[in-house]
Amino acid sequence: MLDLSHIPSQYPNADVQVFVGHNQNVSGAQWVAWQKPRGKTMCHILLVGAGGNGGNGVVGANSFAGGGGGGGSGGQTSIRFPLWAVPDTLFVSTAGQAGNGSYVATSTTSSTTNNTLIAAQSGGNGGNGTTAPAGGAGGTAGAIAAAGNMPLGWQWLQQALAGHAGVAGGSTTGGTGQALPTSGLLVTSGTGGAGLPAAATAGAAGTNLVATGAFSQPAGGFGGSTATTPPGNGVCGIQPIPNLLYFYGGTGGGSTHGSATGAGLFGGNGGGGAPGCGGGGGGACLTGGVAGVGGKGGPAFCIITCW
Amino acid sequence: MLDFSHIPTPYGAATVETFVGNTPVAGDSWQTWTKPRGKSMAHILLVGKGGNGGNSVAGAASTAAGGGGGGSGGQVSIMVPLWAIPDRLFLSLAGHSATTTLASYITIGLKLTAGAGAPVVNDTLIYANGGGNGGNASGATAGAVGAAGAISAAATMPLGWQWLDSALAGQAGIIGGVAVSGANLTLPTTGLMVTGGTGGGGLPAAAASGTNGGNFTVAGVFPAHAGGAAQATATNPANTGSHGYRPVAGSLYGYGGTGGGSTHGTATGGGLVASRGGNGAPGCGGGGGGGALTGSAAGGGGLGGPAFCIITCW
Repeated sequence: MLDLSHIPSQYPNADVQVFVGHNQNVSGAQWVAWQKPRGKTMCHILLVGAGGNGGNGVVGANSFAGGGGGGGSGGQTSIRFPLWAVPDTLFVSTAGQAGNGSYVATSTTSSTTNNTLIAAQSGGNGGNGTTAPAGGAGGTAGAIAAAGNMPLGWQWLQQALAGHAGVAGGSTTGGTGQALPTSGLLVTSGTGGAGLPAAATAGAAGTNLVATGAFSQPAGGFGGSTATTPPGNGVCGIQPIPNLLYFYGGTGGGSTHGSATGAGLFGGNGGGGAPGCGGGGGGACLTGGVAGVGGKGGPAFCIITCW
Repeated sequence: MLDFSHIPTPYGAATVETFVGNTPVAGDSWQTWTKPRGKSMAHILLVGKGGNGGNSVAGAASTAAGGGGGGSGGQVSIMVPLWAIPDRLFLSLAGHSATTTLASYITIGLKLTAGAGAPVVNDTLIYANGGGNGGNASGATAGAVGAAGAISAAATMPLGWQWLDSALAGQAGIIGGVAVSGANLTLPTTGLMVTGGTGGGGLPAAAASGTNGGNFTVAGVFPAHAGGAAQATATNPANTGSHGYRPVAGSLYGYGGTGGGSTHGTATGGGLVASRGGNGAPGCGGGGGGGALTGSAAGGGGLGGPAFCIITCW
């Protein structure tokens, strides 16, 4: 492996390597090697699981089509340890989609738990809307890591946090806003898509994230304002504050107008989540159209900082 | 802001910046920290304000108790890679104030307007509660202990909880004496580097020598820290409590103030002067005032030490 330790990095005294999940369908199917950098003595690893996808909206009659639920965020785990305590090479498997765990291990055999230095679980997918009517359920929070998942790293644990559960989709409205987590998480869930209103009524907006202070407040996709105006898609997740390690999930899509026709017969799609965050739920649509699709959850990510 | 990163510091490769509390109301005054050039990691230690000592009371012999000692602030620290935080942080650190348990914050929010108030919780990187003020004495009832600064929790510093190094509750102060000396304080063994204050001595029976303010119980390298000494002469004023200080050179460890001694049981003339409690070192509680015979003004409690924050980058 190429030794790049003599090349100045963006972080003068530190070696910072970022691994973002790619499209693997099975936990531990793909691995990337990490090599202990030259001249460093301490290490911090932050691992955040993949966010869950948003659920899809559904097509139905007036007041009988729910929006999709928002996906849950991944769990968040970090360890801090002296570099002498780990092998020169570690292997990173970061999930590209919900349902798969993420790991840093001493070998590429994830089925051997005893190899695992750090683990983080993905958030659950949001449920699809139904014609009951009911909004899709919010995706479950990524489960908190435990010693049994990462026995090699538990000694060095700094923090293990469960993820942020997603918000349910609306049944005939936009549902309830989602507050930012206050558990120490640096990622959020996705919000729900809007349900279909009564006939001749403007569509509802997808659910927004509720933020104040320095954090901006991303809105859900707007509802179809006229019968021929399609609703808005949810907003994709972002890093809301420059340089601050903090990411937003996607917001839910808006629902169609209650008497939608022609170009207005498309439910708003949910926004995709930023890394580790849930996707937004899709908005519902009147019969004859196409419901909004849930946004993709953000991939898992791992940041390894050595100094 | 001037970039001093090219100037050598006393700490080798590290930059160490110390901020001391100056706001009497949460969020009323703000200080700014700017990310130093050429560094990669940061450690932030935040210690809440110490509670003020309680006042004593003046009264008849045996019925004028000492004020309670103030509690120390809570102590919290995080270690964070500099890539994970914005280039500027804003600090609102509690200074001398009559407000009990006044909290201190570091936030990413731009609340630089005087009187802007406490920051939004989601903007908060690190948070420390202040210690409680010691209670005032009332007749023969001693001033109560100042409460320990409450431990920080994820919900009070959500941006920084991920990077938590340690979060500790403060140390409670010591109750004032009733006709006897204030009780002693034992140094904390929780990891705290600050202490509470001790209580003032209670006024003794007639014709008896005054009583001492509470001492610190110490061992090893930590030096004694005496309460205000008892007064054996009726015409001499009682001794004030000791002010807090850093007892071990080079160590980040502060003492609280000790309680004032009481007047003589038959004090007269120049002896009718109640003694004050000592002020606390930063983050530490103040000592309680000493009880006094009728004719004296009651002894005031010492001031709690201001909150402080030390940001080390390397």
